[in-house]
Amino acid sequence: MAQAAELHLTEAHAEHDEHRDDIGSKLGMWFFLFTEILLFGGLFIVYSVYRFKHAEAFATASAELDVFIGTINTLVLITSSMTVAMSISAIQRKKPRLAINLLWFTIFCAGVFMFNKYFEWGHKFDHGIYPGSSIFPGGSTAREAWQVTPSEVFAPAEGMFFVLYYLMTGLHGLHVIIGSIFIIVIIAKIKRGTQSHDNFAQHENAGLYWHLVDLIWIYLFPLMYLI
Amino acid sequence: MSDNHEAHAHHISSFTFLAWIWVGLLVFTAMTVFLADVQFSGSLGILVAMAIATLKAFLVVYYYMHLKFDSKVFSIMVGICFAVLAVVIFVTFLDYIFR
Repeated sequence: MAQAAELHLTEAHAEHDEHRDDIGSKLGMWFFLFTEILLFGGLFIVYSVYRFKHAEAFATASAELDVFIGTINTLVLITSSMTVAMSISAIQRKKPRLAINLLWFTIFCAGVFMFNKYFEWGHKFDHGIYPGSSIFPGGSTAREAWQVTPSEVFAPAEGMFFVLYYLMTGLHGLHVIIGSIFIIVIIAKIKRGTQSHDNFAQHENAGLYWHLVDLIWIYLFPLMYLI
Repeated sequence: MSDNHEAHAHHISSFTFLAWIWVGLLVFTAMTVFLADVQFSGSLGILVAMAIATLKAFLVVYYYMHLKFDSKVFSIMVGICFAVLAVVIFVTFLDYIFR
């Protein structure tokens, strides 16, 4: 991105002789996405192995999650994925206004997603479901003060489920935020005219990033909430 | 929706087409939530959920991420990336299952 911006600065005066490599730009974005896929892939492997070794504890812990909120968030992300794809069609058809509105709608979806996540996490914190709490394995030693009976304390593998839950949905949430910032930058560029119907490589790359966020959630949702 | 553009002209996906993919994704989501409620026994449930997730992932990658309309190089690279991940998962489980 930084390189592309520099390139643009140095060549802004030479509009008719602009050097651009849209395919190369997309290729670079994909290479970056591969590292993202392998990053989350590694976490999926950790999750699968623990799930394989502690199937029952994982099922018990997973039952604490709210499938309804998870499903809503899935619908929200799928819809935002569609609107990003539509915004790229809109910019290609010389409708920058429409493209910007579709991108704002995507940001709105990201907001709804994070809002739900906030309540989901907050609800769990209220019930003491977080590493180090009195009901967490290896957590607070002052269990007597909290009047926690041993049966309420999570089994180690149940604790592991929530560690992975927070790690994976947290890392995914971070990607939602970064993706939103990426899209806001694209909105600004469309307004300035530096992304347009015949120059939308960065717009496409922001779209690719956003679809990756959706893609990861497509796997996170069934793994965490459903099975 | 016509895919017969010349090799490097940019394909523009129509809104209707993108909306239909969205409908497909919604149907698969409804399916996976419903089937999870039915509660398949153990590993069959995981298999079904992951199969549906992979179908959804395919819709997103192939149509929304434009692989269908891009140069084949992209498809090959993405294929290799997912194949590497699949192999790593497979080998890891060979270890854990037959330990």
